[in-house]
Amino acid sequence: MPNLAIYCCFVQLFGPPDFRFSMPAPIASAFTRHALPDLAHVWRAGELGSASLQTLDTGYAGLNQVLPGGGWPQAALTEVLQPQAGQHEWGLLAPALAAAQQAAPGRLVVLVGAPYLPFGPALGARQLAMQRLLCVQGQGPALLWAAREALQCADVASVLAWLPDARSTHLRRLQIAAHAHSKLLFVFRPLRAQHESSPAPLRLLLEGAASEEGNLWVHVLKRRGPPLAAPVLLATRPARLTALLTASRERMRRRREEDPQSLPAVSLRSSHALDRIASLHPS
Amino acid sequence: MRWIALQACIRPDALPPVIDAVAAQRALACMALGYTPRVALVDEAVLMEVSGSLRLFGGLARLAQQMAQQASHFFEQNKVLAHMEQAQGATSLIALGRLRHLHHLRLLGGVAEAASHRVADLPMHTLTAARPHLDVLERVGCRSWDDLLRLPRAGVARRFGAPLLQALDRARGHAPDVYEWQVLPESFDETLELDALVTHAPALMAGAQHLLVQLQAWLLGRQRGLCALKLVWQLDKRRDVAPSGELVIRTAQPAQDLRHLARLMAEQLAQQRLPAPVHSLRLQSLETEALSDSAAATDSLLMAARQQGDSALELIERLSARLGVDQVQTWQARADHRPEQMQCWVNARDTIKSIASGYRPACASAINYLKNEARTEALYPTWLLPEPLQLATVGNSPVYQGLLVRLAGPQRLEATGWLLDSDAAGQRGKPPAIRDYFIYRSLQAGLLWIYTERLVVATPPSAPGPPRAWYLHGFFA
Repeated sequence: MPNLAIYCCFVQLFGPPDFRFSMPAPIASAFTRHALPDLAHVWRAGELGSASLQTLDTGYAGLNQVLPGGGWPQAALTEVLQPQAGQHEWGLLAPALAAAQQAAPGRLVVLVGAPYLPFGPALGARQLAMQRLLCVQGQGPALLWAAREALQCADVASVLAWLPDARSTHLRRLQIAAHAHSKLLFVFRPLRAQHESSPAPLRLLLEGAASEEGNLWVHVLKRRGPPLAAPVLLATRPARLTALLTASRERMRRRREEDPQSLPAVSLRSSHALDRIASLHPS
Repeated sequence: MRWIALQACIRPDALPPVIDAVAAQRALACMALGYTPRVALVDEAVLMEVSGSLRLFGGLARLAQQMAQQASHFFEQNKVLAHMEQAQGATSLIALGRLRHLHHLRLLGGVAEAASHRVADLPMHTLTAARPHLDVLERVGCRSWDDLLRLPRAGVARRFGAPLLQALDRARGHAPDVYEWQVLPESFDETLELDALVTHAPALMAGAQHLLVQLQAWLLGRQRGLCALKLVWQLDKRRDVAPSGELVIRTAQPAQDLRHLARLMAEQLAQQRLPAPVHSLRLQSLETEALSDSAAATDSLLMAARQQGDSALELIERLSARLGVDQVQTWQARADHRPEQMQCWVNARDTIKSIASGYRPACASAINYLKNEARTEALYPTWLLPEPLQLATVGNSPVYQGLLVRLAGPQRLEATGWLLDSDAAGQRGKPPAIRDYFIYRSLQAGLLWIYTERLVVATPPSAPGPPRAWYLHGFFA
């Protein structure tokens, strides 16, 4: 199958296409083994992306396993889709950003178009050096310009940009800048961007979860490798906060067991939630 | 005595250059003043006497090489297609003669080796004083300086006048070399008449670029870095408007390379509106700082030492120039227990010095402090709303994008006493209040940080107060 081998090289050169590659993985790898010897710089589309990528540990073992190269791509655009801006950014990125800051303490993290004010004490508790954070606000095209300027700056380690209105061509320019200057770049966009094509080599979709094991589902929409069937569940909250929430849930449960009448079970999805929540507040 | 003669040769085939030959000569003179105080402008060349500075710069060859490097760097930075020619000699006229001879040979397309050229063989046209008599000298067979010296002095003086003989004496060192030395002013202040009236502010940049080149040469000569400059434009007096407008541009790090300042100036000019056409520009240096090592201030010539991209200071100044000073912010901690007062985001321009000084890694005790803090402060939300958002209520509980479930709380926070007195007047005259913070969960928006506020002046418990107000204050992201 020389055609397949050529296709693989093509994909390696020009990045993966946006459609899902539908060849079953074992067959694909069997073909390519025949056609191509093991070359370090050839990525076979049936396998996860090459190990030659320069990556940064995400801080979450479960997430590292499903990302090509085992972490955030160092010199590429990572596109993160979420229903509302300002929901899961710090939980997802704080460990990696803190590690990057420790490796290069003098360099800046630039936030472009952040939806709210980052709260220093809480981020400090996540080991981020707040003095090296730069917040840039603006409107529309000015944000794109600011993001590109930041990527071109030698003293910047990573750029986090909230670009709800960016188009694919804009993102392509950012991707080229991130690649040329070897910067970490995360772009946060709303869910409606899911069906647009994107130049980002890695696209994630975030979804909140309310289970005991974790609070964040990460869907990998696009990566250098086969599509990911099941999302990854991460626990991104600080230990102290998790402990507090668990304790108050326990307390609630115990009280409910003691006196089931006064405190009925509360669920957001129940149709009678309204009066039940009201009954929770005795004042 | 060692003399060096310099000349800037601007390539004629280039586009209209940023600076003309006269400006280039003045720029070279400014740069030469960085090496020796004895610099004179003679005809088309710059003459400098360097015997006093040879030891400092490590010999004549090193000094000449350093000057050539600086000049080519200067021309390259300002996108001037030019190169510098230099020649040296024991007197100023020998250096000048060699320079002219070298230039002449270059024009003829020959290979020039003027340094080894014998003084006696220099052709007559290289001597300024001989230029009016070149034809006659040619006809009497005087082609080189030596030929003229062989003629009887009295006859030469009668036929060609005394100045030619005096020049020859100066060239041979028999008469003193005296010039009026160039002096650099204490501060730069230059005016440029524009070729045409300019009505559009960004178009002023072309004129300002001429002045910036002069300013950079002045900085190189004085071995100083620029911190602030002022650009003044004179408006057409026939309009009924103020006679001039001005722009002050500051930078945190003293610079000799003015490309960054030029970009800042372009950003600022793009936002200006001219009420009337402009006929002249004036550029002044407001603040300069001495650079301890001029080699360290300018870019290193080694590729490895050059940084890829610009520095954080340049980034901040450029972003502030285009987006506005208030749009680029850095974080500052405050000692307060009220969440909105714990931090403040301030203009990055104001704190630029601390950013420039570099990040000091926390010392051991501070790290311990941080670890202790990590346990309690992890309970704060990571996003804070700039202004608390009042929520609608259903019954006695808040609603935000649908119903909410209370997960934890209350955490009580009092803002009473002296803390509030200090800024109560400034802060919209808020009465002292008690806040109870809760963590709520929303199906759409994740974990929310919500508080309810009560006045300290409590209503008597018997009387039912007004329904509580709920405010959204942050998100746990």
